[in-house]
Amino acid sequence: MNALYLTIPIALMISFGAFYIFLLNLKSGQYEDIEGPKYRILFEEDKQDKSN
Amino acid sequence: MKVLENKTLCFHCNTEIDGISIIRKEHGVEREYCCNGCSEISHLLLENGLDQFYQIRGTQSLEPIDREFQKNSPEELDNESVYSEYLEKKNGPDSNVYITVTNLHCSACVWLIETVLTKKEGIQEARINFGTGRLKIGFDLSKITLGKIIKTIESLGYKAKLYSPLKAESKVEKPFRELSIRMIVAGFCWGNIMLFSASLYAGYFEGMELNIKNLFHYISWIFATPVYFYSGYPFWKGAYESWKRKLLGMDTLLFAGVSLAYFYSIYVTVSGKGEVYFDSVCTIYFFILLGKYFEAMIRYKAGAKIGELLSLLPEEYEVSKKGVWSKHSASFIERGDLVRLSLGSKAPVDGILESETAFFDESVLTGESKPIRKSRGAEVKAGSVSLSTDVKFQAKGNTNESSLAQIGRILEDSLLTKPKIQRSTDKLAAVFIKIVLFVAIGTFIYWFQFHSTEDAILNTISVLIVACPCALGLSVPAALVISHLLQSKEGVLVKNPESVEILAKANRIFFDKTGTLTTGKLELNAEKYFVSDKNPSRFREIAIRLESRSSHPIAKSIIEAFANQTPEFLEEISTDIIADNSSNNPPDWTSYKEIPGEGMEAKFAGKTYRIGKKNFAWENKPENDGWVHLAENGIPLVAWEFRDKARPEAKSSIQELRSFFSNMEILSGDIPSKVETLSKELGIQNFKANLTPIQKKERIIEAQSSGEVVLMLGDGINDSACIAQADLGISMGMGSDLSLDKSDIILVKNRLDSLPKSVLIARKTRSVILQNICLSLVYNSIMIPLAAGGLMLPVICAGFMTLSSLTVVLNSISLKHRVFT
Repeated sequence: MNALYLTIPIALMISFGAFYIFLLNLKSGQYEDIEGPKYRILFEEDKQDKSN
Repeated sequence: MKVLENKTLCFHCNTEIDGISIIRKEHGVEREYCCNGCSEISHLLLENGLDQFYQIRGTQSLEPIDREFQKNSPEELDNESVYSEYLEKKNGPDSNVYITVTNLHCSACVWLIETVLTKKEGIQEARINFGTGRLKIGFDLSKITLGKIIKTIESLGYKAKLYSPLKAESKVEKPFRELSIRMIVAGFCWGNIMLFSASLYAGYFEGMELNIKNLFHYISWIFATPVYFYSGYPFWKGAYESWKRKLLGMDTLLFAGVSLAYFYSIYVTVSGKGEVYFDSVCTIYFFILLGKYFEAMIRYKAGAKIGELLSLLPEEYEVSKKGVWSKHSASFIERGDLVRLSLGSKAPVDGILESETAFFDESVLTGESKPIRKSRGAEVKAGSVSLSTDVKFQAKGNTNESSLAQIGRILEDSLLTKPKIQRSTDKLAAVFIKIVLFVAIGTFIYWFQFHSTEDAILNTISVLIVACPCALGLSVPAALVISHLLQSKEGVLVKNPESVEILAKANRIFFDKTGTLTTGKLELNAEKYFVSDKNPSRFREIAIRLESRSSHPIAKSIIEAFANQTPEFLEEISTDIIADNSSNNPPDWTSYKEIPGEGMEAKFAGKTYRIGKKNFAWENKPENDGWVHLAENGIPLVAWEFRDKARPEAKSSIQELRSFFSNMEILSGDIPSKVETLSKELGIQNFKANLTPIQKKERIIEAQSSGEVVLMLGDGINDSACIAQADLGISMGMGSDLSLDKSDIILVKNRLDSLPKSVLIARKTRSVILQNICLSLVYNSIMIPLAAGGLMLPVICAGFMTLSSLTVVLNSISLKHRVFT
């Protein structure tokens, strides 16, 4: 059971780290347009077709 | 050409072609369009090889394009003050600008705008955010100007408006973002703490090593602390504020319960004896924040929608910059410019009066609605409404008082202020809080006396948490905000938060006729001359000249009706209006006067011309034949009879309204025969014709004195008195500034069918609010006794409490489905 004293803090650090990164992404505006990308994939292709 | 049910569809916008179609040959193929706008855009697309737009669009139809709406002119946008306000400078000549594009329909539109813009020289990047419709453009200022970019977007048929992210940020977006982060932090900690809690519960029943239990207590403490301090900040603040005002608020109760749980748990953790309740702290804050988040999200959406609707309302002023008159929107007025106001329009800025005398309505500023007389040199206050025609004044600064800015502010407030129904709920909640506190103290004393201190603290926490009247607190605002959102989706702006209740209760509705039930677009039906000199184009020119200064909808449509006959003249007069002000060239036409409900008067070469009702124009008898008369020095010249059609959606809308209102009536200044025809056509039982604005108002007072709750729907200046008098005034979106000001509700889309929808939403909102209040009272009266009896653990109480809050919020959200099914 003593392993818990080591593994739980490690798990905590990992989860807090991931959460911190998530907050950073949120602030940088990554989640502001969640609709667009799925349509954009289709557009870009069309555009390249034209320029060829 | 596409044929559907034997109707021709426009090649560009895919809507039905009503009347004449425009046929244009493109690359050997004939295509039909509904309007010039569509044909031009389609031409533009084909020219640029962008015709795959039509494949992306599919069978979806676009909103027909209103060419006249394009009010941005490039020169206006390309000046330093605009640049400094809206441009985000990058390095060198590169800048970013944000533009709100209002009528996007689907991904095809996004594709179209992005592609056309990025093909332009000087634009490096153009990206539309699908969620918000906001366009971000990175461009090189030395290669392309802002004005040209906006023009390009408008030439594609979209409405573009500059947007300053910094300005909007401070008002709505920042608090919303803060709340979301608080909610996310609470959610993260809640998710984690529950893992350890589950183990602790298992340990409680199955036994657990004391060291491990202590470790888990400390870990729970770590997770609960950010939630208690950071996520719980709004509750700290709320509790502190009610404390300062010596009141007991909902936050007080919640905060007391959670604090008790938090600090008792710390004591347990440190002393190592007993059970911790950190999980209750997280659960309760997370779910309440979740409820608040939903509410804020809808509020935020409603705010954005309102902004969008506001941009649809007309706002234009005749402004002279360095001696040149042209039409501008209010934000382009600067210190020293001359501004001209027509009857019923609102001064957008503070200024000094240049006209000899003028009357103003300053009720927006002072609450006193008596007209105030001012003479040259007097101060004109922004927000006051001109009650005279052709008022000129010099601007003393730039605007933030334009009618739109003002309505915008009122609306923003109305999203925050508490209507009566919410105030009564708050009172109910205050009583409730006292009862709960009483019960909590009683619980503590009972358990302390007969059992242990631990049990006493525990059960008190349970009572405080389970009884949190958040459901009561959330129920009304959540429902109201959603109703706001639904209303704005229907194109209805609700300025006064009390409206929901009145709209739900009203049983009588009065309508104005012209411009409200009818389109207000007149067609010339007959003409009769009183003089031998039958020169139609001269008379029409005089009529146009007179009416060009009027803001009345009839005046506008008279100009339109005559414009077909004298198109060249109309060109001339518009340049004329602009030019006639240069001081060295005195205008020939002087002293314009508009008499509401009667007509226009002006002088030319020593003669006085009047246009309007017969009794006003030349005959001093209280008689009205429904014709528009033109007279010179009191001698009749000519009279025209115009025909006015009912709005296409009027009949069905009246039909729908009949189920809400037992009594409908038309109040009109028009002659009885015309009003009768219309009332028969639309199926409105009662009508009164030949009324002056004062008589209309008296009719409303009469109805009110018999105990009825009265709605008035109108559009013009002559309706503003009735709109103000009625329990609820509603105005059409194309109405005058004055009637927009006095009304509580604005039908921005200028369509009658918004009204029945709006009434329906109001009624459903009211019933949802009542349901919510009942729900939360029933819930509390069951749960509080259980908690006081020691039958529930705090975390279970937290669960039930959040369940009740979420039920209420979800019930409010369900409004949307109830209205539209």
